[in-house]
Amino acid sequence: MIQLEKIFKWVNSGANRVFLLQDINLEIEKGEFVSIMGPSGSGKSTLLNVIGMLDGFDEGKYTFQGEPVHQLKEKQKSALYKKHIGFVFQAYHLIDELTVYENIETPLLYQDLKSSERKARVADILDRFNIVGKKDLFPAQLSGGQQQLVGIARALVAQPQLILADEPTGNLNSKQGEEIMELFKQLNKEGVTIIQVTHSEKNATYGSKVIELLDGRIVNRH
Amino acid sequence: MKLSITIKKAIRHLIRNKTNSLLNIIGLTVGFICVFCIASYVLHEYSFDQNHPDKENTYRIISNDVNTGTKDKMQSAMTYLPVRKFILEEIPEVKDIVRVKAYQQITVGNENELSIEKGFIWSDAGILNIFDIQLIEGHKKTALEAPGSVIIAKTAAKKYFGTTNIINRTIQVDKETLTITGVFDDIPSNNHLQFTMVGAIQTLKNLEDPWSQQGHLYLSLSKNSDPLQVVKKINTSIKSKIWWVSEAPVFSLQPLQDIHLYSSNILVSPNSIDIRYLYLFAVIGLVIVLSTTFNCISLSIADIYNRKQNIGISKILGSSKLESIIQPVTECAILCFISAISAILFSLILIDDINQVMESSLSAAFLISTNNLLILAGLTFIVILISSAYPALLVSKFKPISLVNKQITPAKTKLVFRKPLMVIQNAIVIILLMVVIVVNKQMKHLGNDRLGFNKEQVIILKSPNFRQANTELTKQQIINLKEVSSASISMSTPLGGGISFFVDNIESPYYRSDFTVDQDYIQTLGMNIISGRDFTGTDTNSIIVNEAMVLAKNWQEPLGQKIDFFGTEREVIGVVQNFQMSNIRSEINPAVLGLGSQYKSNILVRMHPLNVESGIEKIQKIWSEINPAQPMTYSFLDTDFETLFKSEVKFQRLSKIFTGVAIIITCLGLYAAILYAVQRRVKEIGIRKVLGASGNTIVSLLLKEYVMILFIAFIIAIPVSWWLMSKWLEDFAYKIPIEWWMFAVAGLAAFTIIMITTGYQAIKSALINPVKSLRSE
Repeated sequence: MIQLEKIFKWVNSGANRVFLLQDINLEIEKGEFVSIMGPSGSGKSTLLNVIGMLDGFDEGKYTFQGEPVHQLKEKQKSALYKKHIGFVFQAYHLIDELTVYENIETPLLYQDLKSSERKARVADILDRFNIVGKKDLFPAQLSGGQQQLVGIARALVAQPQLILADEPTGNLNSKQGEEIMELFKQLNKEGVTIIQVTHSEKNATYGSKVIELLDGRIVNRH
Repeated sequence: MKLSITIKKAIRHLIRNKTNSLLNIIGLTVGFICVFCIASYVLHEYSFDQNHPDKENTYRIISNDVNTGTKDKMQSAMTYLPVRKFILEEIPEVKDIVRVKAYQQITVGNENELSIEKGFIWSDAGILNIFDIQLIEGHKKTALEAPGSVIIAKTAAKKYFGTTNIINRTIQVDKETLTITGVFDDIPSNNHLQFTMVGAIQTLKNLEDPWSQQGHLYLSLSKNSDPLQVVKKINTSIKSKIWWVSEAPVFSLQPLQDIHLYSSNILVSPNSIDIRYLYLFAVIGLVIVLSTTFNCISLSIADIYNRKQNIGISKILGSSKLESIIQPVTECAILCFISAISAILFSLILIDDINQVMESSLSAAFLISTNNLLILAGLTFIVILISSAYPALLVSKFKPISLVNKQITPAKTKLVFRKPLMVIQNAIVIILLMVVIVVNKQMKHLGNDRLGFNKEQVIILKSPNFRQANTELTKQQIINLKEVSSASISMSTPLGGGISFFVDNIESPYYRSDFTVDQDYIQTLGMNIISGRDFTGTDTNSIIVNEAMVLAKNWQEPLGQKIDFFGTEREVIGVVQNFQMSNIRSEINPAVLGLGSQYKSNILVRMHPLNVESGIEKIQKIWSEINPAQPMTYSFLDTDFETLFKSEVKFQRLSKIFTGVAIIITCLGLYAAILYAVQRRVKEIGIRKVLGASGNTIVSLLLKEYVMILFIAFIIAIPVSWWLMSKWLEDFAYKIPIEWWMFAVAGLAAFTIIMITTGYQAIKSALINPVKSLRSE
């Protein structure tokens, strides 16, 4: 599904070149559940953003489902991730002005689905996540765990093959965190590929594969 | 569907950010009210005489002759009416000429009840065509044919008769009994000549006497005739026929459409305004629009930085560039729309006050007429466009990743555009404050220091038949009132200009104005005697001159000099300070005051300041007891002054209001700016406090920016306002110098206003407990 070959990313700071990613070689198969670990500043989020096509890189090859991402234009890239990737953030990043229902509906709006189809899909997801009763509330009226649930629902509603989660439990207490991780495990079982960035060893155990980063390099994988 | 979501999102966002939205709406509404009024007003002024069916071929005759003053390039719309006959005989291109002889006031009514009418004119039958008047009653062709006929406007007919069904009834006008032959629709407010009654001019007896028959002449040319050629012909062919003056006046034609706006140099042009003031108002309107949009822009920029994340998320969820631009544009459009609607509503509610302030004649119907609404909608659209363009551009440039990244704080992102906008806003305020200061000072200079008499608390009693009234007795009784300090019978107020004529002195020709007065004139008006003495009752062989006269005659010792006054040689017994007469742009004429009752036409009464109203009631009672057959009107001398300086007084008043509006808008913007700054720097302030900063340092840290902005604005405002006001002052023969303290006052006032606006928030934020602001959820 995803092949990264010799990916380099850097920024120039004065005369020095600071590497954010160095020589990343990575292959992720469909249906995997990968955890990216490492200390702060090791490049975890950067790597995730590169995979999500939100951020570019300076050298190397990236193939996503056979498409050479390094050769695609901005527009094509956004069309690609719009279709195949769902994002989950540590700070949930729900849109404050929209209700739970509308938040979940948003990605579908951008995909030009028919109104009836949108309704059916959002209803399905609300049902599945057990948040039907909360559909008319605004994000500020929900607890952190509930907000993250909505965030995941929003990521899933467009039926992506890949979920990218950047510390999805970082802002949650341990019980809420566990529930979210259980949910991920369940989704993975149903065939969704998941890549998560995490600090916690425990969360990493939910995955099938762990990649450890240090200073922008992969130092360990198991 | 998507649009409805966009609108929904926008409305929710506006509701969530109540303070911002409210600041925006208030600012926009105030701005819009102002701009809408200015736009409607300017539009209305431009519409004068534009609806006339044959306006291209209709002209007014302007005369330029020695008696009205070639010296200061003054032309007059008033001329000798007998000229009509000569032109009709000589110039075939002239289809028709209409004489109009207007009265400031005339008595109208029947034997039982006389009242004073201000809209009476004598005219030819052709006036019905020239001004496209439609008769409701009577026949257009014959209405003004016969001597002794009169037509009346609808409202006037209702006023005098209670009905419009009045054909063949009679009405008393002055000494004539006229038969009503028609009723016409009221003259629209955008007609330069306003009248309510037209009498057939053939009723007047000595119609061919050039000295008693003066007034306006309007002519209509046949199609395709060249007005320049016609003027040439008029001036060459009728010169010899004007036997009554040594040098015939030079005539020119003024197109009908130009009369209202281009007559500032033409004497006796009713209802005209100086087009430059119209431009000035338009510029001020534009400035207010700009200031309003600046607020809108800077508020939405600040807002966008607050919601970078939302925008980023939308992009990551797949929104296109266009969609992310539409969001801020929609919000702005909603705000503008709400404000525009409320501005129109407010204007409708306040229309009477607006008309009073602007001295305009806007009507509710005109305000909501399609034409006007279209223009207002256009203005709103422009505001929307300007104020959402830059924020939209910003949004479209955001990269989604930079928006969701946690570590990026907007502290580093400089809001490049905001500061220049605020500088311009502040500069506008300072410039307008300068305008207010200079205009007020100049008007005070003209109205008090330079005036040469005291115009306050003086009322002028007039009657159309003043000479028939027993004015001496009236004056004696009025003086006995405790509300009155003195009174005087004279031919005119100083502002009326007396009788002026050209003195063809070989070295330096000049105009001289003569006033017949009584012995209380100088005291009643509070004129300053510089040397010599005031009149006593027996000084019938004496005169008092003004300083300009002494200068013109080059007298070393004016007292005892002898000059001619109304046919007799009189001796100078005193010199008064120069006083303002009717000509406001040029220097003050030499003037001579002498005792006499020739041309007496009014009683000037100086009142005690506190009892003006009760005094006027008593004066009216005295007048009607002594002169029951002569209706009386009164006016105030300071109102006469304002009429003389109409455009200037209007500008003075409106500049104050507009300055107030500009200040309100700027303050709203500043308040929003400091709110934003405080929000953004909550953490920074907290950290600084923990590190030991005092409240004072924090307040000055926050306000430093605004002081800098004000300082730069001040530097910009000085030359601009200096140039602007010198330009304005150029028009006056007597003007004040622009002094440095005026700038200082304007700057200081702006500084105070800005400190008050921003100070509260700054102090509040400096007092916040840092533990609170540093706690992060």
